[in-house]
Amino acid sequence: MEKKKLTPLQIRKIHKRVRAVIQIIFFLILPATFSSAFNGVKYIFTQIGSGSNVQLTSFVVDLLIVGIFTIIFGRFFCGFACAFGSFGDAVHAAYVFICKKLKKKPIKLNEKLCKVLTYLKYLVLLTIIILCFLGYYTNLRGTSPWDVFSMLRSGNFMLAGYAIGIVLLVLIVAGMAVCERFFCRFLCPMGAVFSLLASLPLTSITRKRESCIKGCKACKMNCPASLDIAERGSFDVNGDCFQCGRCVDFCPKKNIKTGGSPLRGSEVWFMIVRAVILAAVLLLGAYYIS
Amino acid sequence: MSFWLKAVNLIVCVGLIFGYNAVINIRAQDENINELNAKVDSLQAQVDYDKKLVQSYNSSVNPDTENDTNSDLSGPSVYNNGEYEGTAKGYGGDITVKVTLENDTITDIQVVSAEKEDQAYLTVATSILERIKSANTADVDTVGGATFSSTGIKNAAIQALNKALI
Repeated sequence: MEKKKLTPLQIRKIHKRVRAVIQIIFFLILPATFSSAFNGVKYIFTQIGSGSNVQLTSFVVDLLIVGIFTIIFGRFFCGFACAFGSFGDAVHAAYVFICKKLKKKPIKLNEKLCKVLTYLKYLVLLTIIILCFLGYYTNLRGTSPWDVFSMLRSGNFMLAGYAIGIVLLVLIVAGMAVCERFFCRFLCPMGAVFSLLASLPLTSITRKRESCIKGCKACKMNCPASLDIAERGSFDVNGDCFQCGRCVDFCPKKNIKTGGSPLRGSEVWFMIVRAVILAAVLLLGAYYIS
Repeated sequence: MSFWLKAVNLIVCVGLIFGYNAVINIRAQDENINELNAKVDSLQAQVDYDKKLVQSYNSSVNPDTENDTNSDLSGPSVYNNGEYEGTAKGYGGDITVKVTLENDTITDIQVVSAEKEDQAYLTVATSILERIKSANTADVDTVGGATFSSTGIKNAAIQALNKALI
């Protein structure tokens, strides 16, 4: 490889493109993993609620794979492989693009409000779990925005009876346009599950606070979830980090790294390796169970 | 939340699910044993009753009377025998199901093609095949979580059975 020094802007552009390509590939080959994994959660609680045993269905297999992957690599799935998250990124990118064309400033949500809203997803998760446990969930057909999204994605337009789901999806799309990863941060029940998983600190993003430029908030400003990055050596992995690696590239001091390792976390090869592992395991799992 | 708290939480959750499953499985086994015992008892009673019947029959009827009580049980009355296919819309596209009928009984049912279904969903949905077979009718509940795909299979089976009607 030619040793030509790339400017930080060029590096960011390359990483952005690689991430977009990975997202598109996952959208095409594994578009239903997010809902099938969450179906695993719903299935487990439905079974327990009705007193039946929990079997290793293909939903549970997807849940296990995505869960274990998240424990090892953090929420890489959310940032790179979730079809709904990728769709949201596309909507947000379109909104930003339109704002630029119209020379209007994009709307920003209040930061304090956002912090409170992050707890909403746990409430969503809890509600769905309770409904499944009590056996009411099956009566709620037509209310899930994910169902509507998945139907539209697969070209199924028979949406009669899905009014509530459609309204919710429209609201979510509006939210995702204005605020990057709106759904993932505030509402996603699968994201709530991921946040509650004990992700290992090996591949989490950390910084050495003392070597930061005083008052610099470049990482937080560019983080899709406006996170404060953990201190190096800390075991407290932030459950809301999507592993997008943008903070790594924006840090003017190159102060952010993965875990305690020399790895930075936004390397192209590292993105590809994680994506390949995830895709391979998911495809193998589907093959094994069928 | 700290890593350790989450780790303990996760281990407890997974442990609970495994523990729950173990309890349910043991209970199911016990139930199975009880059911089988009950079956054995009732069969025994039936055998005793039949013996008595034979005895009383032998003693009351003279041996030359011919008995022709064997009613005509062979041959189908609702469905024609054979293999029938039906197609219905599933989640992403058409699902084709093949039903094999023999003397009004569904002896085999399988999905022939379902190209546009998601693999994970289809795998879960195919558990409806077993339900249809054991209930010997397509009028069964769909599979939770995989409503579209299992409804597709169900409707395809209904269509196949309608084709088979005498």
